[in-house]
Order: sequence, then C-alpha cells, then structure tokens
Amino acid sequence: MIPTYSYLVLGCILFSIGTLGVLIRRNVVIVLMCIELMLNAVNLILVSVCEPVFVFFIMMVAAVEVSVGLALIARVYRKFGTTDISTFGQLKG
Amino acid sequence: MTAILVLSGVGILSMIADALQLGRWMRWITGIGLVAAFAATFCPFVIPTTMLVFDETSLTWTRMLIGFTAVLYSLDRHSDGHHHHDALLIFSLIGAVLMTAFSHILMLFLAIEILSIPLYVLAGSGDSHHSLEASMKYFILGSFATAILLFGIALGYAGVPAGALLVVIGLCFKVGAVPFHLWVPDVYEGSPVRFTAFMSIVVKIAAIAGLARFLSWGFGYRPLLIGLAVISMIIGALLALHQTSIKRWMAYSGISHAGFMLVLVALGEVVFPSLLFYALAYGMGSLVVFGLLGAQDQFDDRIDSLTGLFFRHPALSVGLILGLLSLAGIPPLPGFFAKFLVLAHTWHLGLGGVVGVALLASLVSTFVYLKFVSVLFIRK
Repeated sequence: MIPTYSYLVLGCILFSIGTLGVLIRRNVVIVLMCIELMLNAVNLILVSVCEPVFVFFIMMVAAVEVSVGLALIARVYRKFGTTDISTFGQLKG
Repeated sequence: MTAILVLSGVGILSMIADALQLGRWMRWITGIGLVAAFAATFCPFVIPTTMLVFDETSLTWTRMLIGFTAVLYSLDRHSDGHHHHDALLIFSLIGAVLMTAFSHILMLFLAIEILSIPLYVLAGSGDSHHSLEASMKYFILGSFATAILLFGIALGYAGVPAGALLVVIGLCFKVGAVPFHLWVPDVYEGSPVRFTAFMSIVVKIAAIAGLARFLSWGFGYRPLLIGLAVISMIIGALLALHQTSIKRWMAYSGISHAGFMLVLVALGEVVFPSLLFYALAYGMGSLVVFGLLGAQDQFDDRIDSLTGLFFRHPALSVGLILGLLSLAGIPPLPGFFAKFLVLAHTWHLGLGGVVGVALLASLVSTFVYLKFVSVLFIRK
C-alpha cells in the first residue's frame, strides 16, 4: 500500500515541473503542454484524496482550455509564421 | 438563480441566431435578454442547491454586474454587423455572476473558467496583431493562474494549510493586483475597446466579489491583502503617469482602484456596504470614460488624439471630465465618497500607515487624472 502523502509529493513535483516549463520554455505549444501538466498534477492529488467529482470537472475544463488555446496558437502561427513566445513583444510599457 | 437561467437562455439563443444569420435581430435578442436578466434578479424562484447561494450580497453584486453590462452594451455603436461575440459576452457575464454566488470551491473554479475562457477569445477578436498578442498573453497567464488556484484547492483538500493562500493569489491575479498585474496593461491595450471596458468593469468587480466571498469563509490573510492593496494603489498610480495609450492608462488606473477595493476586502464583511459603493463608483466612472470614448466615430487609442477635444465636442468632454474627476476622487462626485470611506474605515481600525499611503496614492492619481483632463483643453 502506497501512502497518500507520496501521491501528494509526486503531484507537487509534477506541478513544479509544469510551472518551470511555463516560465522557461519559449514555444507556445510546449507552454500549453506544461499548463496541462500542472492541471494533471492537481488531478493526481485530488484523486489521491478521493475527490473524483472535482477531477471530472477539471478534465472537462482542461479540454475546453486546450481547444481554445490550440485555436489561438493556430491563428498566431498563421499571422506571425512562428509559435515562439518572443514574437509577443509589441505591447509593452 | 433565475438571472443565470435567463442569461444562459439568451446566450444560447444568440448563438442560434448567429448560426441562422439573423444579424439584425441579435442586438435586440441580447439587449432585451440583458434587461430581462436584470428583472429576473428580483424573482424569488430558486432551485435548491448547495453549490450556489443567493443571498442579498450576491443578488446586489449580480444586479450591479448585469446592469453595467447592459449599459455598456447599449452604448456600443460599433458592433453593427459584429454580433458573433454577443453570445461569448453573455457567457462571460454568467461566469461573473456565478463568481459572486458560489458556496462551494468547485463552483469558484468553474465560475473563473466560465468567465475567462470566452474572454480569451473576445480579447483576440480584433483584426490587429496586437489583439492576437493580447489574447495569447491573457490565455497563457490566465491558465497559469487558474492552475495555481487549482493547486491551492487540491492542497486544501489534502490538508495543507497553505492551500488557501494559493487560491487568494489566483484570485488576486484576476483582480489585477500588483505584483500579479503584468498581464493587465498588455491585454487591455490589445483588446477591442468594448471588451477592454467589459474587462475593466465587470471582470474586475466580479473578481473582487469572488475574493470577498472566499475570504468570508474565514481565511485570515488580512496583512497579506493589505500589503498587496497598498503596493497596487501606489504602483498603479505611478505607472499611469507616463502612459500614452488610453486603454493602457485606464488599466493602470484600474490597478490603483483595485488596490483601494482590496483594502475593503481585507477589512472583512463589516465594511461590505462600502465595498459595494466603491465598486459602483468605480464602475460608473469607468463606464462613463469608456462609454464616451468608445462612442466616438473612430476610437483612437492615443491620448494625444484627444488634444483640444473640449473645443470640438464640448458636451462629450464635460461628461468625460465628470467621469475622470469621479475616478480621481474629487468632491462632490461619487468617487470622492468611495475613497473617503476607504480612508475612514482604515483610520477607524488604527492602520495609520495604510491611510498615509492611500492618501499619497490618491494625490498621485489625482495628478494623473488632471493631466488627462488638461489634454482636452490644449488648443492645437
């Protein structure tokens, strides 16, 4: 029997990897994947503490988010010709 | 409850009308729907649920949010032929209403997502590169903040006490408090002006209401919130000084006002009527500014483009000046009483330092607003 807190630790590690990825990766698609990783780390923790209903809702919302995100990325690629995050530097001040 | 049902119905109708290409009817469907939803907030019918609570607090917030959206929608003349976004606007409004009425943490999460996901699309609905960039930034940072909020909730379920702190941080991101404000100016500047107005009024007020409700569950983060509030006030006012873009300028002004509202949120439910009044005064001020500027034939985002506006459109300028002075907090306009209430409550609780910083921030922001007003009087 694996104790509950080990899932918590694993969830925290996965979440940290996701956070790091969002902060340091330059490609928008990878950033989107890292956000998904963060959400799934949360799912892992929630499953380990027996909150399955919450997990279903998060999975659903994550799917919605990905569909909107990928549509946006497709538009970005068509307009800028790249998915590199550094193209988004026009708005500042 | 009835308001949410009516709004959902209107949103779906609006989508169907768009699919059937009934473009000229859509303005009526959405407009009448918003009025009907406002009327429905007075209907006592409630479906029993443990996820939502419809007390006086949430009903008052709901009326305010629907009212602001309805006025904003009626002032918007430029959307003729661009009604595809009406449904998304309505769905986003439903999220805002849910955010004022949740009584279960799952509902808070869903409300934030229902509020945000349509906004990611709306922010990118303009034709320019800037609009797309704003949308992408909003999407990445918004999802990131939601993930942090969810992590907080999960830690809370796992019994880690720091969980609520992460939820507060996630909500502060939506409010646009410093240091989680970095997305605000970029997104406001890039989005089409009518959605900028929606974000700066409805979304900000909804986020404040959600934060107030979450904290009313008994999480004591008063020192942290007051700290965030104080830096938001002062940094928002200072950064507004050198802006040349109207929308970006309004974003920083909104950050400063969010700071004032956060003080009231931190002080707890005792000062709730004052928070309501502040939100109303802030919403009305922003509504006047955005409404009048958006009602011009060609919205130009540069502050310089308003040079000498008083001599070209005196009536519009007087309204604009009243709105700006109210936001600045000049008596006898509502903004003054709102800021006065913040100072009075803080002073009453013996937080002298906060009063000092708030006064300083008001002074700086008054200067910022007067600078804007003075532009209207410069002859070319």
